[in-house]
Amino acid sequence: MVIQLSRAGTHHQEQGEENQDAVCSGSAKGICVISLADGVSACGEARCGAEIASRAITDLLLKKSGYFLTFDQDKIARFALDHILWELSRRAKEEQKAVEDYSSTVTSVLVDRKSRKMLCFNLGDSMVLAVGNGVCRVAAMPSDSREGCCVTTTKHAASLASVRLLDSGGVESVILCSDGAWRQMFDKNRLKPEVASLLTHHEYQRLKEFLTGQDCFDDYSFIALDLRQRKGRRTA
Amino acid sequence: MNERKGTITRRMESAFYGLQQEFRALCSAEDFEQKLAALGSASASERPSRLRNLFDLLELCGIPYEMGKDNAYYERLVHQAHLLSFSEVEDRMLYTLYAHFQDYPSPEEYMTRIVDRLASTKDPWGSDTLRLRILKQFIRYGDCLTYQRDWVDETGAVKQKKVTLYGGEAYLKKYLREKTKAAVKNLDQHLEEIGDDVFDVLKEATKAQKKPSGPYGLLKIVDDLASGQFRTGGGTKKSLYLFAIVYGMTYDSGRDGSVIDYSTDIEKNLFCDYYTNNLMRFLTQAYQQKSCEFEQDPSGQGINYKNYAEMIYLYYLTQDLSPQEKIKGASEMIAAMPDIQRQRREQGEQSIEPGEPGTAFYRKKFKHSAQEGLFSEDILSLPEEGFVRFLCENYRCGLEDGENALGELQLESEQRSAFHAYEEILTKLIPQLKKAAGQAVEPGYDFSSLSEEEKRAQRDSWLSKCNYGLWFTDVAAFRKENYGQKRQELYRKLQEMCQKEERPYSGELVDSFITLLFALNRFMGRAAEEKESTQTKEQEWTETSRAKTKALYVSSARDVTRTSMIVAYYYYYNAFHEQDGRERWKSFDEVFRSFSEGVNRYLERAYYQPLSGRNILDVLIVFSAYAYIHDLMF
Repeated sequence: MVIQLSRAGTHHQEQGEENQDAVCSGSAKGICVISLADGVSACGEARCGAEIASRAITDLLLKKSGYFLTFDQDKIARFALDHILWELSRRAKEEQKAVEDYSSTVTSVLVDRKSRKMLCFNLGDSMVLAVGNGVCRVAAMPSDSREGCCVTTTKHAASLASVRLLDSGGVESVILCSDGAWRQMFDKNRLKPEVASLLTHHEYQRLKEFLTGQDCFDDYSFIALDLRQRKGRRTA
Repeated sequence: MNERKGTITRRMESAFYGLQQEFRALCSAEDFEQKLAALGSASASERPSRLRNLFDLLELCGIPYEMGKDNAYYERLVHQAHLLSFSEVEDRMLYTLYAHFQDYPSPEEYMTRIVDRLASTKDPWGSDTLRLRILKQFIRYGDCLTYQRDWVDETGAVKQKKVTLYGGEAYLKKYLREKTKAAVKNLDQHLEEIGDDVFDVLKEATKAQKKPSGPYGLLKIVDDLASGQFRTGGGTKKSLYLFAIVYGMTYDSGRDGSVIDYSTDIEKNLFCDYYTNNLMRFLTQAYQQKSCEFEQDPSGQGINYKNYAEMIYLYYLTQDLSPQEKIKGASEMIAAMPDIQRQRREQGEQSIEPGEPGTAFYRKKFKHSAQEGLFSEDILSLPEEGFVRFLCENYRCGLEDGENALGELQLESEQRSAFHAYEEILTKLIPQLKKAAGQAVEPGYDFSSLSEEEKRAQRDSWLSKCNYGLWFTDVAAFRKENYGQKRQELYRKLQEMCQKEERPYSGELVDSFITLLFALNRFMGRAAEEKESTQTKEQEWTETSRAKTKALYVSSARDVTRTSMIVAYYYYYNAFHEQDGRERWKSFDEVFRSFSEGVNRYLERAYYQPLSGRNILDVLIVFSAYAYIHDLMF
């Protein structure tokens, strides 16, 4: 089950601008992929860039999951970013704009239920949380954005992306959060206890209420993949 | 993503990466010739990868090309392009360094960024000078670095005594009394009236007055923090922890659901960015005037996980307490621990034996030991009593005989892993030097047949050959009178290039640039300043310089630094490539990568920061290696 929220922050609301985050998901043959991209507000086509990036990586991971779960990490990062950049360049060419106008961060998680493998790809300052056995862990840390954040059009972006192949055994849900969202969920470097409680109990509706109740300057988004098996017997 | 944060897109690259990128694009005609030659001799299966190498170089230099063409097309493309000769690349590189060196932040600029990021917008001193802002933060949030200690008198009554970590409160009150002509009880209520002139007394103050316990101790540490002056003897580290407490900085303990908050993390901001060997500090007046007072080469070690006092600071940094409570708690515990440990030892309780184990053990235990059943968060979330027990059982908290002169932050400052890695580089360097001198090197060359003394003498003798320092420019020559012409030539060249590129030029800026090169050369080459020679030209050429490179003679784990390790690797890298011609035609980009890969193996083992284009010291050293291995060809 996929639960998602993506809203414009107060800054964009006041400016009458749209939310520049995008979330996306897909599944096929026991493979689930969820993705999130956070468009760079300073770029003219940030929203469109975020949509393209999140869709491109979702489709790529679904289509090539077999390869991605066996590639080495450098190859995965290069392959994924080349593909995203190619999609962005194609759109930029059509619209006669610079590809940099479509810059965004991009984060994606692939879960293969059969092999119990989980691939986390993260470029930029979004975060991946994994919940299991009543504990919420950070599966992919946001990158250091003190001197600017790395995005899809950054030079040598592949070397700045984080790629992790994890065992998904024991993981009950995975949550991708944009920086606008996780900054509300954390107090400096620690997850707020009330948010930790919502996550460990998989109460995503209440997480939505929590986030929408905050005065969030930046756009905020999350997408959660609930991997718990539904209980009950199948009937004919 | 919030637009105010900015991004590093292709259009919007930050200054940090700018220099590294420009260097990467500086490829000489020789670099291309090598790629073409490799392409020409490639088999069918090798051709795609050789082409990729050529394309990478073409892209770096912004030369448009088409894929899928024959070799003649690429040869034509290269020969038609305006490519630089190696000496032009050298000039260009020096100019690029000159044009960009000011983009590298000084420790003061790092501190300004940290304070800007962490200061509360409610505090009305945002427009004050940096040192005044830090001082006011210490006064308001750290109670002027004082706290009340409870004590029981003879009658059993609980009384309070004021403990002063750094002297200064009395002077600040006096300063305000004179300024406002009124009695001052609470400094916090008069912060707006304190101006930067409060620091004027430091100009005339004696050494004793500027000591921590002296009347201007607080002003002095604030001034040092703001200007990036690192004091010898562990003084800087203590003030950094107190700074972190009053600014509410965080420490990533790796607990479930915690992240590294890059904007507040103590390790990233204070130990990685600020308190490192940042060459830019040598341009500050303080460093140019009184070099012996200041730490020349901070080790680069960051948090010392085997020092009990540092662990206590981290413990309190992560507690949900007010800054004053944290300062009091940490200071009291640090002071009490030696006695507590001694008493427990006397009572026969388990305690660590002196001398064992090393930093790596503690770092692992503290940061990554979930599999060992102990996690840093488990330690940091212990109640005070439990934490004291943990320290008693695992840390050496008191001084051994003969250690009376050491402060608590200097205890256990040996970096054994780093020293082993450093020694390993030197062990690999000597056979290379032997080979270069045409001597046979037996496998596993380790002087094993010699006595310890002979080994040391032999090793020193070989290492003394590594004293040439920076290779791309003769820095030492700039100070020789008879080389004035050479210096003028540099000024002229840089001026011409600035005019051509319409960049501002100033002689003073070139002076600063040369100062920077001198500072680096001090670490890399001859320690002594060269004087005008009285020898004839023939004598000069035949007599080998006997000056030694200090970085190659580190004798103990206490003295090893990140810089000494990189310098040792620099000489190894150069000596290795003197023997191995395969690397000689690499572009700067490739040399940077290959040097990084090699040295990072050692730096990581030593828990130092990896080589980075953000660090001007690193960039200059790698460029020097690039110049050295290319010069071998001419």
